[in-house]
Amino acid sequence: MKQRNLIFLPKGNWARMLFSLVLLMVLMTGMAFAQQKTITGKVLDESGASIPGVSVLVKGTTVGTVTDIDGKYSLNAPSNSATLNFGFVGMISQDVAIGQKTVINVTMKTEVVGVDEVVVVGYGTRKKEELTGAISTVSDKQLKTSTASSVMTRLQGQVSGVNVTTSNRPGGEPTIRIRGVGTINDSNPLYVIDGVPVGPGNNINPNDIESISILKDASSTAIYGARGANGVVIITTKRGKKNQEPSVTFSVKTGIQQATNQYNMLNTKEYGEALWLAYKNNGTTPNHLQYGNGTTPVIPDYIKPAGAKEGSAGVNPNLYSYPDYQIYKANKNGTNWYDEIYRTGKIQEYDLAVAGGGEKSTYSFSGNYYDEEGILNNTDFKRYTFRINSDAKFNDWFKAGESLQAIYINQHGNLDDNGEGTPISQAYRAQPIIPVYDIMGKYAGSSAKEMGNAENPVAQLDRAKNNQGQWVRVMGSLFAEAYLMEGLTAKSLLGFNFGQWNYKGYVLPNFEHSEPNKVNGLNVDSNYELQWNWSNTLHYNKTFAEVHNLDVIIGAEAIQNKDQKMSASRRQYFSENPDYMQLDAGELNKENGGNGSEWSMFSTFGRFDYNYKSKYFLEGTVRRDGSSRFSKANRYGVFPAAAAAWTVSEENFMAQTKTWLSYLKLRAGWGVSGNDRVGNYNSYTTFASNSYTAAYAIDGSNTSAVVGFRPSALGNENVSWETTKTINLGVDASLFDKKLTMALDLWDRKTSDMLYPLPIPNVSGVLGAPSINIGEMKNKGIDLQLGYNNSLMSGQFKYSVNLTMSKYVNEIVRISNDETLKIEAGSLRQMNYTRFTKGSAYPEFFGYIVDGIFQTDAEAAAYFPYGTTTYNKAGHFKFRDVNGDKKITPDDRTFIGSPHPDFTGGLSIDLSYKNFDLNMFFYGSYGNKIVNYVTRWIDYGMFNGGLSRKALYESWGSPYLANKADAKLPMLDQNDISQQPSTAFLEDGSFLRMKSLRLGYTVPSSVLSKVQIKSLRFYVQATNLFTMTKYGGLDPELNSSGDSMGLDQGAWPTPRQIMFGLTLGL
Amino acid sequence: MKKLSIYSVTLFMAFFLSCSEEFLTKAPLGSTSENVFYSKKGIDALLIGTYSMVRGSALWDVSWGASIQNWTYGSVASDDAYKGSEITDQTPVNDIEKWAVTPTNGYPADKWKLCFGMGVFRANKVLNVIKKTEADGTITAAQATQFRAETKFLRGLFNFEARLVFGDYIPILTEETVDPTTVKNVNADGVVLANIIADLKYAWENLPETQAQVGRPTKYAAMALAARAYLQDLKYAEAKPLLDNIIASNKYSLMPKFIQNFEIETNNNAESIFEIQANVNDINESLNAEMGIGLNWPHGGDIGMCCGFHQPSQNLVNAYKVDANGLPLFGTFNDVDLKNDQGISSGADFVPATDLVDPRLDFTVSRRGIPYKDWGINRGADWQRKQSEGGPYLPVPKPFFKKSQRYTLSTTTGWQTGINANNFRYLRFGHILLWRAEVAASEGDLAKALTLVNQIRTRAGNDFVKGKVKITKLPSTVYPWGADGDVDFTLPAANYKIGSYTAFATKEDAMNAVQWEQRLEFATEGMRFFDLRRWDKLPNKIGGKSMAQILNGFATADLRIRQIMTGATFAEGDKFQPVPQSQIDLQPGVLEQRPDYK
Repeated sequence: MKQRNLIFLPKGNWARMLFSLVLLMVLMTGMAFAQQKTITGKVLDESGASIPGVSVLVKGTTVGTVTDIDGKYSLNAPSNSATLNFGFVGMISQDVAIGQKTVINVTMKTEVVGVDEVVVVGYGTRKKEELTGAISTVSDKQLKTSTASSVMTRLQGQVSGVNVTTSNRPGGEPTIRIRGVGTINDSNPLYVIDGVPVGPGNNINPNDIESISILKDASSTAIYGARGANGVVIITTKRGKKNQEPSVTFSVKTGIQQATNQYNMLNTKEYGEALWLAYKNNGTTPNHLQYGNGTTPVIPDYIKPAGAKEGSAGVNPNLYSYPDYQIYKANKNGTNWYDEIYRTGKIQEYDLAVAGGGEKSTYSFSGNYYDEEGILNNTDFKRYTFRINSDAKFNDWFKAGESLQAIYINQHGNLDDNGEGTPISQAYRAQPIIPVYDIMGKYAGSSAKEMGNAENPVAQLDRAKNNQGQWVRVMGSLFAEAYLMEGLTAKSLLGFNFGQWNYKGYVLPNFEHSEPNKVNGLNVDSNYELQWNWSNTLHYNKTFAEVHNLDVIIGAEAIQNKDQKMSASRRQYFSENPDYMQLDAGELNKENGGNGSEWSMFSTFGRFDYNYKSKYFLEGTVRRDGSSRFSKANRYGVFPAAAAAWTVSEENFMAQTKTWLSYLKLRAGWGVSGNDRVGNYNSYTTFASNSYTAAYAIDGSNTSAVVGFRPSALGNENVSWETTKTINLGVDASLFDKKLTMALDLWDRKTSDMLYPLPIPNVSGVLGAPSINIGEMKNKGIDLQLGYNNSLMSGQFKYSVNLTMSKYVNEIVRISNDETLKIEAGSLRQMNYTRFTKGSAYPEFFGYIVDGIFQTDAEAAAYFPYGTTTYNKAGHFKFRDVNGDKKITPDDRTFIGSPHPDFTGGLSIDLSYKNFDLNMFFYGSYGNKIVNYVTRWIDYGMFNGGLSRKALYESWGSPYLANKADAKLPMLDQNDISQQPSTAFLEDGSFLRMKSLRLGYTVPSSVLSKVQIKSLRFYVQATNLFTMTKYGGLDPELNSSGDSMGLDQGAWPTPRQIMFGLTLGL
Repeated sequence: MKKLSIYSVTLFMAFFLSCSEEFLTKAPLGSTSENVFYSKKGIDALLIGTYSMVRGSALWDVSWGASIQNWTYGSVASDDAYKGSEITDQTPVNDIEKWAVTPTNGYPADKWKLCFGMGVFRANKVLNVIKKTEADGTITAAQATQFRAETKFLRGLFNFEARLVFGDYIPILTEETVDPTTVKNVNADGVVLANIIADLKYAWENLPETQAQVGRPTKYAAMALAARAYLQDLKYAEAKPLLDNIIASNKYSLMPKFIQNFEIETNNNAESIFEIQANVNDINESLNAEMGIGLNWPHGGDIGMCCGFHQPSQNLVNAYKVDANGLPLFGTFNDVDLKNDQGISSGADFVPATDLVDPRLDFTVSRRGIPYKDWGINRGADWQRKQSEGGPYLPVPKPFFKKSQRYTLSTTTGWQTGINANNFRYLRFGHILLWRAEVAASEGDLAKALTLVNQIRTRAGNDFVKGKVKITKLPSTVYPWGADGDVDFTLPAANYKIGSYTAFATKEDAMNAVQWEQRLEFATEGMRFFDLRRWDKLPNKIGGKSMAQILNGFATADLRIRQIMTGATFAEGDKFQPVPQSQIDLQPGVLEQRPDYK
């Protein structure tokens, strides 16, 4: 929470006037009898606007006044007065020598870094200057740099040490990794909203957020014990302030978004040429049911019936009968499937927030509606959020409060991402000759001969238009706080988090598809999750002898979580009206399923903080957790941490550097935290019934099976959580009158006892393997934050530059007792692209090294053979004999690159001139590789889908290449061996992207005061204006994690948005 | 205030200590532990879970490569069938078809996974539970023996299947094995077979002659499987008494019609000895039938399902050609192809071949111009996925269903709507007769061999496909039977002829005829490759030709139809599939690769 520890003065002229009057009356009482001199003047802000309500005080006296509505003041000062002090909330106070002057005009500067900034830490708060651990905060202002619907996406590039890879689906959630990849298990951080632990998810309206604290090192996360190992994100929502006049903020944002990129595909004519090239390369005679069997391909008039000419009997529209006899005209120019599925999406957001407070109670409530249409047809995401926070102070020792949030999400359409079956992928898999519609306006597709097996992506999106995901979440907390004695506070907080997820998906026949589903149906899911947590803390805070500051907290917490899942499906509906298609109306395959799980945790914790004169800091933390996820013997764990800091700049010997070094602090921390998210039942060996894998029609029935049991999971009782030890060394500094600020952290994390479900060989059964504490993983890195702010033209032009850089190096130290064990990620079409083992990062790309393309058969014949195959020939890849055994075998595969970046960084530039402000935000990643799996389809021709221009124009032997040696791809012949994972699929994923450009105008208060508006601001914002990258896929920013990190199967591209917004304060 | 403080602190301390172990004990929901199964009902539930695996599939845990019908290793790798579909789909099968498998091929890995990880593993679990339950006295010794016999039959079956594909390079795992991960897969000669036989012997000694539930094995099922196991090593003397026993039991007889072995309505018939039970539509995308053949259905036109794999070869079609006496053209059958419609569009003229053919041809292969079950006339190219790569014939029809059974006895939903309730006749009386004929031929008992082979041929002559087409163009407009009078259902669809052998002159002639008969009778059922392999060890091999000569000859001649086999060569080392590299990686130093794949 960033707040300034001064008197809170609400903005706006009404309040200011009132405040001025009161202050004036108070001050006037002390003025009566002195010798006096009248001084007048005007106080302006950096934009030149007058500031009412500025206190003007003769230093060393009680004589003073405040500026009026035009920023003017007049003061009768004692004649011996030397200095005037000008003070205003949020601005740097100024002393001005009076001398002989009778008119003193002042321009006040905005205070950029609050000295007494308060930061939320686990179960408490700290002044920023008192921090000993690695904690980054994100302000409301930083959150506004991005327009993303998800708060987590908005963190990208704003803080160092946090890697955010965005998802481009409407409402999509990013992948967040704090300081590398801490484990091969769930390496998501823990999220805590107003004291309630929540899972990752689109849980909150970004406008409701007061502050976000990101706890990065174990000295700050150990207070969260077995859940803190991968960092903690603490989100605090806005609350009303004491004695705050009601304020109403209304904001509107609206705009559009569009895709910026598509694969560069062949048109119909070129596709035919590519087919003929492949025939030639394969040494076969051209024989295609559509393009004919001549020396050159001939584009037919119709593709269904195959290869038919205009006027032939089969294309007579009278024969047309859907779905048995569809007629497709050939699209002779070629269908651009991306143009067909992309659209301009509208985005709108309305937000109303009210806050205020009296002497004893405060309130804050808001409502928000966010509506985003995706860049693909028929996709959308709507979110409604409501929040009420209130506090009541009953007497001088007892206070209570609550937070309540309700979120409703309603999304539609096919939102599948990064897979071969998504609309984005079907669009590159569909051949250009296929029209979108048949002659009667029904969908056309791959059911025409030799058209591969792509879905018509337009039809796919259309049929999914009524698919609906609905998510309701109600969460919040109640707390009571009692001041028991001086410095001692007891607090009890009861949190709750209820989520309900409903999904309704329609299965509609796709007769035009080459692998059609001809029966309609419905799939329904209904899941809920209910969690409560109860925490009790005792907090003691006291200063002894004015120099010893002590802060101690002890507490206990219990959490229980339960979820229930239900799913049901039906097939065959009389009508396909979405309203008719309810479960009860389904006629066949009445299938229902469901399951549940639960976990609980009980913990005690304590932390003590001591500092001497705010110069030397010491902190110690310990937490003991008991978790239901582990067996009785291994249930409890203890997580200690310690940290120290030294504010060097406070030392006397630093006095002479004060001129340029405003602040310097050194920090060191060590701590242990854990991760228990490895499934709820790892210690149990279980058997389960299953209607697929344990059922058999033992009685000979044709339509029913007897359901039996199978061993389903192998348990391990000797398992406990992963522990992560972190060492953190940090420096915070500010220089040149705090114009330049810097935070640098060096860190080293070691995860030991890393849980891994060691793949069990088949002979031990095909069943869920238990996780065992076998692995070790290391991450080390550097987080750097740099900021510079200054102004020119006597404060009228202000600028600031903020840079974050994050670097981590991930390494698996141990994954098994068998040091040679190499683990592959799941296969994509029988091929594995990533792997990890001792000494590698998690994961890395694995495959052959391609040393070019054989230019002649002689060269190929002289080279080492590929197994026992006849692969070696001109136009094929020359794979490197890595192990030197003179033949190419799977043993020649090796690690060929890493999806982990060398570093990522964000750069934010703010400029303002008078009432205009401009923000530019850049984000980049350097040194990461991507496996562009899409090229296996479009460059290599898997499944006879669409082909890239590269496949025709730059493959070996292409008639368009003057010189074969210039070929970028092997011969186009669909050879399976050429498609083996290799460096040929590896691309540089580095990029630099201008994520956002925003121009704002704040209407001067002098104008607004006339219409009694407190504030009004307009802005226009554009996102993703340009990207510099060598990557050939749609988007180098790829949201994939775990062992498929960096594997691009065709993800939603980053859209470009243009937004207009206004914020109105009343 | 002070009182309040003390009160609060006490309350806190109470909360600190109040949490019970019960709060932190959360057992899994919806599953259970082993002790639940220590009863008759429990054992049967686990046993059903083991039976479930004879289907050779388990949703997505294992798929095509684990098929109990061995359509890849047994059929596509032989001269019976092509991979079919398109060359870019399921590319690992291209390597199986072209005898160029590498140890990382995912198909054999699926077979290994099913046989050991799901079959043998589950069977051993059941055997252990039986042992405990019997020791507790919860079930009687007789009940224990019955369960044990069924379980051992299943374990024998999974080991047999594994041996078919991987040979003797498999681990021997029993209920006594303490740590299966340390069991090596290099075995002395005969040990693997002996292990299979031991299980099956226990089964035939203890199983009843009939079972109340048709899915369970009988004494004779165990004998039949043991006989087949012996035959893999040409142990004719050991197989003979088992086969004779089955015949003498008089429990089984040939069905009147050949096709009845491949129709849903005659599942579990008089000819059946052990069937792999299939059922559909108890659940969505019902995969309680064999998903292992889930790709092997017609792909094109109005019949279209997925995905056009496993298409009969031209060589197989040629094998059904007969001479004027209705006898095979042993030496010359593949010199000229029976006329086909390769490269001819459905709208172009095509007159089906008028040559004399064995009537089993059109029950085994669906070709253009011949009615296909009740789906209409096979329209050739329009129904094919890609002729140039999969040849002119539809995916093998034996496991297919009738149009009238669609969505009731076939899967309603998903893309695998070809999956249906047709049982796979894993062991049937037809097998027994021809295996017994083979034993007779090997012994020189020519009369016996003659009788048995002719018994099969006589039955084959009882039936033929009816419906002669009068039209020569079959575009999609001809739907499904053409106009009235386009098909004459009183006439045979082709010129069928089958005759009995009058006599066998020599032992070699007899063996040759038996081998030919097995091919025709069991074609496309996943046996051909394994049969060629075992016959290769006979003195006269396969009609005087080695397995390599047969397969390489097939590959060369097949270039008349497709170009896929260009450069493919079958060698001795291709007789077995490699031990999956993924398993060797998980059991380094324990599992060893076959020398041919090192």
